[in-house]
Amino acid sequence: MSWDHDRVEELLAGHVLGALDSEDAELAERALVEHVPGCERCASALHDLRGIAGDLALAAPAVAPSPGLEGRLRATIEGVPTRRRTPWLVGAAAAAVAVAGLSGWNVTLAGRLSEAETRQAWLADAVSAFGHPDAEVLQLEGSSSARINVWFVRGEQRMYLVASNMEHPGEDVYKVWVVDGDTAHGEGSFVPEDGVGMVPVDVSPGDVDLVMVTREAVSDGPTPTASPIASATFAPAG
Amino acid sequence: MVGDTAAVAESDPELVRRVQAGDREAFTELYGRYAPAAYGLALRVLRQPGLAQDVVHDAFAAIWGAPEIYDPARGAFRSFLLSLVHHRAVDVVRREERLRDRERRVNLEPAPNEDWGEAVFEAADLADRRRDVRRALAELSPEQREVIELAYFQGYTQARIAAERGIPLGTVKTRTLAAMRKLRSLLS
Repeated sequence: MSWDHDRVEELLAGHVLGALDSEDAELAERALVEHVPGCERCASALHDLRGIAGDLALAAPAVAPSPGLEGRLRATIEGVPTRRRTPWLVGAAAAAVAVAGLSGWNVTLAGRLSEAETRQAWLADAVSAFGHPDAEVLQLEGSSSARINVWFVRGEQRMYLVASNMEHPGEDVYKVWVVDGDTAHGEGSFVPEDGVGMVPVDVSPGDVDLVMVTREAVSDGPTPTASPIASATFAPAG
Repeated sequence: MVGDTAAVAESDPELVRRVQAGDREAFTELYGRYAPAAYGLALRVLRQPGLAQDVVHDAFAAIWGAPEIYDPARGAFRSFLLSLVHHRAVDVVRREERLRDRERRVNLEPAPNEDWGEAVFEAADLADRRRDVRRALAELSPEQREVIELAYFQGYTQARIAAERGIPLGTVKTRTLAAMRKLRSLLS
């Protein structure tokens, strides 16, 4: 696809304002991946537009948040001092920021375009979940060099599986399974971008015994066809 | 944390480097430096203090959890942080349909009957920039200023702006680009 610079800049202007509709948002994501990194003019425009969008925030009056917010934030960062500063979370948060409408900041991790809208919604939730003071991390163990973790809050109905340092599966996909007793349920699949992948898992951690990831030829198979590359068992609450 | 931004302030890049090393004091300093701007923005978009504080909390928590998501080569930390806050706030406002019924004024000043909290002291450079931005916005044509206001502060998509104002979508796009180019010229 050939790109018109003015058209790209028009898309980027709407993009940095968060004002694009789905069709234009997808087109902007494509431009950010396919054109902007190699176009000095459009890359410069994006840099400037990001700065303007950031400055626009200053048109709103500064307001001191309540002291309660400070305490809440302090509890968040002091309650989980080191475990959240692990590589998978770095990758996860970067991926979240990339796809959730800020991909100008991290173009290389922008997701597959056909899924951009869906991913945008849950990735925004994921960013929120990272800050939850009761969040827990379950590390999946396996033989590969991949780092795979499940981020969850007990009592919530959604978990996030986050994988980094993943080998690209070629034509295959990685599939996430949750196991309850003797039954495995497929809970989504992913192809990593730059080694990083995230999948929302719409199951409460209290309802499953084990979570695992397999490499599959198809994304919609009813049962696992390969041995897990990584798995972990949920410990009881408390 | 809030408001202590006077004198011998460390630069943002230095503070970010310290945060990346797990320095809570540096994180506290960044919070004090930008929480009022972030909260003011979130409140401007959401108009609900509880939701606005959630958004600010999430943004700062995300930065603490993974400070590497900010790449200094791609722009100023302040722009990155406020963009993160803005995106999250717009995401929330679009999902909170009840907020659709809020007052939809095209006005960059706060409504007098809303609880906007107390004014805050800001570092001189930030206060100067805030003044520059408002002056630049005042230089836009009313039509240009309207599309920026509706998109950025009300969370409207361009299609919604076109529908509600009865103008072609292409006009909204060209006005937006013209406005952003003019702001770039005035603020560069």
